[in-house]
Amino acid sequence: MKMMLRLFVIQLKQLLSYNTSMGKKKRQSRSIWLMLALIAGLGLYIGGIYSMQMALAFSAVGAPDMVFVFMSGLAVILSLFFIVMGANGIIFQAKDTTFLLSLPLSERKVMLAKLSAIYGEALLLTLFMLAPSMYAYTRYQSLPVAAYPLFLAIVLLLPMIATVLALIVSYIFGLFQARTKVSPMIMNIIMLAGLGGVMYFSITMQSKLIEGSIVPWALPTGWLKLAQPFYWVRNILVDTDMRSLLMLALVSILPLAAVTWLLARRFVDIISGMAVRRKSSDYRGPSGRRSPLVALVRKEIKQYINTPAYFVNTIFGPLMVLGGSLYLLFKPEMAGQIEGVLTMIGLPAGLLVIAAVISMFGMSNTTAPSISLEGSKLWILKSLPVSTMNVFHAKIILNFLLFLPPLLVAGIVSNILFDLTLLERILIFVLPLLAGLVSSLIGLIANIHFPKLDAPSDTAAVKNSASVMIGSLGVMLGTIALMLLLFWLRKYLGDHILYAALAFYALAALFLYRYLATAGVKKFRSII
Amino acid sequence: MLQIENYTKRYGDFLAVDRLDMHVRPGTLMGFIGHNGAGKTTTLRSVAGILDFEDGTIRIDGTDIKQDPIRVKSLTAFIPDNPELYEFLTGAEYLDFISDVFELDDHDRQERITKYANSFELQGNLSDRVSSYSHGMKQKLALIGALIHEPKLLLLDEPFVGLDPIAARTLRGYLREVCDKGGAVVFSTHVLEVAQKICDEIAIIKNGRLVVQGETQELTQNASLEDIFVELSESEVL
Repeated sequence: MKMMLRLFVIQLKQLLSYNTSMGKKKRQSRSIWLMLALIAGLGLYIGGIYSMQMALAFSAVGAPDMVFVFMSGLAVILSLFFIVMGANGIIFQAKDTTFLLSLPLSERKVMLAKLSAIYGEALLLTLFMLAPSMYAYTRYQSLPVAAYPLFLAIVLLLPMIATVLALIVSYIFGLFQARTKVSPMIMNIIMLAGLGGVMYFSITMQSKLIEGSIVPWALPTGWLKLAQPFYWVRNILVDTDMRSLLMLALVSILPLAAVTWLLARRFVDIISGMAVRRKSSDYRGPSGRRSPLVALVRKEIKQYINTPAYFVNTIFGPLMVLGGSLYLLFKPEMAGQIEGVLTMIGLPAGLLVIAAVISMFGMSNTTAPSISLEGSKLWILKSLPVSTMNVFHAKIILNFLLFLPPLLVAGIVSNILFDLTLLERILIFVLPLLAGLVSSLIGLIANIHFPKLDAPSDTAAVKNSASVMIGSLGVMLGTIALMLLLFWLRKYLGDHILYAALAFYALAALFLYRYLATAGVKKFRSII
Repeated sequence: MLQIENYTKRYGDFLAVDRLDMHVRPGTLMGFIGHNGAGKTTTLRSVAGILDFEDGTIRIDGTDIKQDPIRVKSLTAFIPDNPELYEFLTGAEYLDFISDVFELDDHDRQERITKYANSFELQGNLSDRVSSYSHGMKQKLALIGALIHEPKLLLLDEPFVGLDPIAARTLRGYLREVCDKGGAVVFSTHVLEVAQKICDEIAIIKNGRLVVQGETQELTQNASLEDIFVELSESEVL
């Protein structure tokens, strides 16, 4: 048991370790607690926003209890996205497996420790995502006292569903990875399809709620039957229904037990089976000569496309912008409705579109883990005859390539659909572009100062690092704070707030670029 | 070709290399020898422009590495002891990337990649992802990447580790070829028999300080390099 606990802690550290602590145990220990706090914070942030919004929407149709159905579903899906790369990184493609299996430990113990670490991460995220839904619900209805201990049981059970799904997806991905060259793309497609499904579900459900064509408290039918476990969550909490608890326990525990049993019995076989080699062929010559900067950018693009954790972590924002723009283009009446609501509350549509696009781009910061991803390969870039600034430029260009196409689409669609002033029509392109540059620079500078070159996997470098938290969550919160400030300043500056925003982003970009070119270059040279 | 003067490198309070002076003439194949932690890798990394240093100067082909690092790097190639490469690229893509950065034209890159890939028996694996390569295959790919731009100074940290005997022999041939063309090679190794057999000069480093540097024949005088090294390591020279 003691050995299991030690193995579990090591695997959890592997998942959570967030910076290069140079072997200082005290600092490493602190950083893990910080990482746990950051995950909890992320869960609270997402759970808080969605719980309050959904409770408000559902209470408007007389069914605030549906917030439990929605939020438990969201908790499982987001936990799945959060842990699936970890499952691949520390179970099927782990660098430490060979070492651990060479120790006098049973393969069952090794596998169980890895599995427990993944479950632990999902548990933490589920707890902090679901807790706000309890508060949100009690703003409209009261809960029985028994609901609170039952809530803890739910928090223990739901992550098991996410863990099983993550194991299945990462196993399939691992098989593709061993046998095909397109495996990272397949993983990206799986993840994108999942994200698309979540977006489609959210949008259609919200519009059906608005239309009144869905009766939220009715029993699930059709494809909604897949959401049955989440209806049980509602029954457990609102009606203290023990039968629903039993059913939820069965669908959570049994699949996990079956997958665990299978993995424990065949762990070495499965890992070995993934080491099958592909067929080879000869060098067929260069595909064209490129400048060093273009070569660096191409390398960044290939790394981005072929590193699923990197891709999935940053594609959501641009996709939301693209999806939202196209949705409005095909449903222009929605744009009219939005504009009507904004006019009523005295908010210009241009400002809202700009704020929305900037916030979404805050979620697609590719520069924040880009130095960490070099890891033990950093010697290549450092020994090549390219300037440090060119290395940085390539990383920033990748970020621009990611958000420029959706920005163009969003800008054109907004120009067509909304009644904007000339200034707004221009700034709808310029401001997000500048904000994107600022976001890229912040991510890169954060990563230069907090590199994680010893990350056990690409997933750990992408997900669990201080620079990523600063580059994505920090930029997003900063953007929201800035928008609130601008909204408040509007009372005094009127429409000139757009000039204020332009000046702010332009000055921030200039300052940060200057910092990157001086202190950033110096700091990069000292990274080993 | 390489002039190191008063080179000093510290890691915090730890003095890794202390006022090292070393000169390598064109055409020289030099073995850089020392016990673990003596400062070999640190020195090689600084010469390659990967590691910053506090004091001293490093000049390659007359150019100070701190003054014009890009020119210096365009003349050198470095391979660390455990060359981790971009696993998301295929072998061919990695070599194309290196060729692009060194601005090799299509003809040269095609000819050289084919030549070196055939020599190191990697031709049939170049379209595979690096992630599927063994340690030895990665070592061979890194060597091809180092050789294709015809560096004037080749810096190798433990280059023979992980190579099969045929590849090791091929590498020895190419190291000599670099020197014959007027370039120079500095490599660290613990395989003293190889160093004695192929090196024109030997430099021995101990506790961050150069103990001795000279022509192999003059230094060993028909004794084994291993005996000389052990004798120097145990003596109180420093």
